[in-house]
Amino acid sequence: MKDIIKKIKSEYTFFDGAMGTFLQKTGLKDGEAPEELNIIDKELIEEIHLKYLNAGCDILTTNTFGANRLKMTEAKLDVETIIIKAVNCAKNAIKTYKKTNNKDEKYIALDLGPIGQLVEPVGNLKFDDAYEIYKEQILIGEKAGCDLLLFETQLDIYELKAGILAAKENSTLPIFCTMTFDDSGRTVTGTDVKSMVTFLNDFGVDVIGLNCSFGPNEMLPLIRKVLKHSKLPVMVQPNAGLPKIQKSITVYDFRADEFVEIMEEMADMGVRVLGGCCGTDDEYILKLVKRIKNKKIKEIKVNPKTVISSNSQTVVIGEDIKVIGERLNPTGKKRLKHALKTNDIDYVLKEGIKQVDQRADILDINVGLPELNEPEVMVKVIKEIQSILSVPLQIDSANVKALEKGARYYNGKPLLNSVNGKEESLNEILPIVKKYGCCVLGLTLDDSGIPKEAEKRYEIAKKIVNRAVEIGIPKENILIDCLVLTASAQQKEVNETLKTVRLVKENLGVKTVLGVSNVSFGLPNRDLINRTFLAMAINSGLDAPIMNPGSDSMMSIVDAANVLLANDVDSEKYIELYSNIKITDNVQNKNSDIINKSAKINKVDLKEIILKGLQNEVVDLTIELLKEKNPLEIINNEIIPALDIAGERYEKQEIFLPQLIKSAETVNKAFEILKTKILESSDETIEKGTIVLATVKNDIHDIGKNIVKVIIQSYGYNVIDLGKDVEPKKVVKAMIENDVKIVGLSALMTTTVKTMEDTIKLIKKNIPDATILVGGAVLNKEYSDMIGANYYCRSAKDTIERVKEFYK
Amino acid sequence: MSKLVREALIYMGYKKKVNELDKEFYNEIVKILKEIKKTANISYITKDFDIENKNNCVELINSNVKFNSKNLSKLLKDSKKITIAAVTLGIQLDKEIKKFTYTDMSKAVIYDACASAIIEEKCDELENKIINNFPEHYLTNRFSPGYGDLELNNQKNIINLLQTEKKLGLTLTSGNLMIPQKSVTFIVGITEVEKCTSKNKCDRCNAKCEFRVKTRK
Repeated sequence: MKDIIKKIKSEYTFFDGAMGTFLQKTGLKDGEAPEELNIIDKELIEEIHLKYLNAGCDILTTNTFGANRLKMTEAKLDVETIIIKAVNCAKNAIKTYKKTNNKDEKYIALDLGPIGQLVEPVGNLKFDDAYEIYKEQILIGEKAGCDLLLFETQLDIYELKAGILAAKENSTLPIFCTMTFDDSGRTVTGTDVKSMVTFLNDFGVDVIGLNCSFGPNEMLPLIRKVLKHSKLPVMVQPNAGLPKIQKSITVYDFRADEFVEIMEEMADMGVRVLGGCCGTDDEYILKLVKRIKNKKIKEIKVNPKTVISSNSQTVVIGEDIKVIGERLNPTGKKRLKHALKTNDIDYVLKEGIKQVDQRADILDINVGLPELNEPEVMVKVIKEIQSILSVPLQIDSANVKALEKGARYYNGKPLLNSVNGKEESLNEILPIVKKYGCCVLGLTLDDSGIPKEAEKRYEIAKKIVNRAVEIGIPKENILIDCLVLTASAQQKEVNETLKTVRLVKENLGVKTVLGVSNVSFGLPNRDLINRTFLAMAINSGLDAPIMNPGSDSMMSIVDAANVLLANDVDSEKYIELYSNIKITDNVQNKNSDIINKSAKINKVDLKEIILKGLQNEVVDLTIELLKEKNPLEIINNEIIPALDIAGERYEKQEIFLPQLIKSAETVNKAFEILKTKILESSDETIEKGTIVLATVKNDIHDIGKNIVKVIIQSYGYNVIDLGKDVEPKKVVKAMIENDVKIVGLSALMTTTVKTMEDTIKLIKKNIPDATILVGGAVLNKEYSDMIGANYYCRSAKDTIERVKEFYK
Repeated sequence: MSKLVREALIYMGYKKKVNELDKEFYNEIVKILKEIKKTANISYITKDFDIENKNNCVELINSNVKFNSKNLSKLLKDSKKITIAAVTLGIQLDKEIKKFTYTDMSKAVIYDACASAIIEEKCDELENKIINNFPEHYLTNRFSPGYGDLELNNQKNIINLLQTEKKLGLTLTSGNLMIPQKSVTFIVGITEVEKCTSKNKCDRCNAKCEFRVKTRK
């Protein structure tokens, strides 16, 4: 029976070399689809395949690099025909070859190149669409008789994830993946080697590696990294050196002998599957096979680590103390609850950014509110956060569906929070962990609750670990949360938690997590209890506290512990952080701080702070003002007059856009305080009205719209921001659902004015009395009238005047 | 640096002279320009083609690509060769700017304008590189899909010809817009005829645009 994976485990295996380079030599024109040759010149394709077979390669790659629905539609070709013909070319070549060499087993790899459009949120191709595109190719390829799937020259790990899922869910063929890096050591979308390997290691693929972009020489340091982290067999397909343009034709600077020289070095390092990319031909493969085929294989053993990743950052748990930021969890946080309920994603993102600035290594994401569609909101929040932050995430939910969806649409390898000792939980959660190759946090509780004694909690931990390992989850992907109880209610059990941490660490050898801040509920000076407990827990073996990274005192415990446990080598990080900090008496310091603050505040008023755009000062002053005035007074007597002055100065060109925005943002900071204050006492809002904003379909430029948003918000209006590239029907839906009759549409490109017109038509059809404002670089009054908008707004100032008028 | 600052200011709608600028604001712009130059992954690719230019259609020899455009055809009337180029500041910059729109919108606006100024500068530099390949020749103005009657969907051909996806990470959306956002593609004709040499680029363009700068006479 043909078993390529078994073969790779016991001997060197060889791919073919380039296809495109051959085709260019034989007259393929620029811009023509090489895939068409599978139909119009199949003899040529068969001949190239045969050359590689004669050179000794084991695996042929079909001529289907771009044979996806998007690229084929562009080239007016049919995906199914192209793939079937391409596989037939490979089959025919093998048939011819076998006439003289019957005993050699040969394999056909279905070549799957990148789609050509980037997946959301970076691009606008939907993840599910990318999935469908690959699925189509894979189904046809498997049916046509391919032996394995080769995702190659992949540039975006998120697109690759969609492709691999399509493969795993629709095919049983082995999966090979290679990605392409540039000389910065990252793919063009920012993925580094370690993030790639971390993600792929447990995702259920068979072989991983690098191809294209440069020659074997430049690839050497990167492949060393792959080998260092990979639990899977590693493959390489470098180019024949670096490209050079000679008479408008690309040539490569490495001869076959030089190529083989370095390829041998890679084999000696542990690479098991070898082949060539651009610029290589059958001579390269012939020499490669000859030199390496009969060498003894090098076995490599990788030290398993607990590691999670985003598309561009990895976090190893267990080497030093890692902080999991707890702030994106609505439990006990009214402001976040409000933000989630009102779809205020900006607030959520700001909280995320803040925690990263406060040095959180991982962010916990919990969106569990009964009134929300949790799976949907979870995916949305994950995508939005990952579009601006590289920090890996902990997906936190009691809702299985939310965990599953979160794991599916997450870019990288997440930590799932959580599974526990209940049968139901084990049966539902562990298969998700396995399928998506995640890490998982196991809670030491079961049907009878949280055991009081450490030994019983330890038993549950053991059960979780055993069950996970049984279904094939590597042990290093399991972390245990030994559960923190409050010292005020269950004082004696605090120590049991610490004891459990020790037992788990010593006997199970897995990493531990604790929700540290739970310990202090109901006690005064919570931070003191928290940080003391944190130090005790670290001493017991805690690897990753879930805590508020905004607590300087707790963060300093983590920093100090990393020195004392010799995690922070030569105290380098510690010295960098603390060498400039003067130690004074804390209490006294704090008091003088407060005195200073109120003294400072008396001297300046809110208006001036807004006009100067002093965002740090505005928070303290607003809190101070709230002691004497109610929020509405502050808005009407201080904020709005200041904004009007800023607006006038802008009109007179005394200040410019960045300064105007600064004032508006300063006001928004004040609003944030006022909102939180109001939410403490009621569910009312201080907003004067709502407007829907969107950058229209096909347009991805949203900075103009975002400027308008900040200004409108600063005048106390609520903005429902639908983002960019927004479908017309989505605008209508948002207006109807929120009962809003005013909308602002933005377009930057002339080509998208058309979709703006479509959007206006659809709004008018569904909401005849809607007021539609339009703006953007290419628009003017004339265009605006032509496409049926109510008002053309030249600037953010224009827009706010229209909004004020509307809500008068 | 001050030329770049001026360009950036124009994108922010600022029409005063650089020396009338608030010092603090000037310094901030200079700092951001430096930051972008340091952190952005600036890369480009060019490719030369022989052309056949007739009936308002520019055909690239040895390829299957034709540009149907009266304006382009007119621009290239004295050219037998063209260079097609793509320049990008990379995807990380998009991410940075997006992040600033949540933490510091004012900075996001300055960043965006500075990035636009830098990519313009890179295109100018690239023109100088291109002209070095053709001694005793001149370049026509740059021309890009979306200018005049050259439809935006011609981006597809350019992206395909230059293999920008693999080489620069530059791809198109379904609406033919480029990602990363701070990217430019252009076509430039190689000619023996000297072109309009006004230093003000706006003199070479007919677009009615709010950023237009008038030449002082």
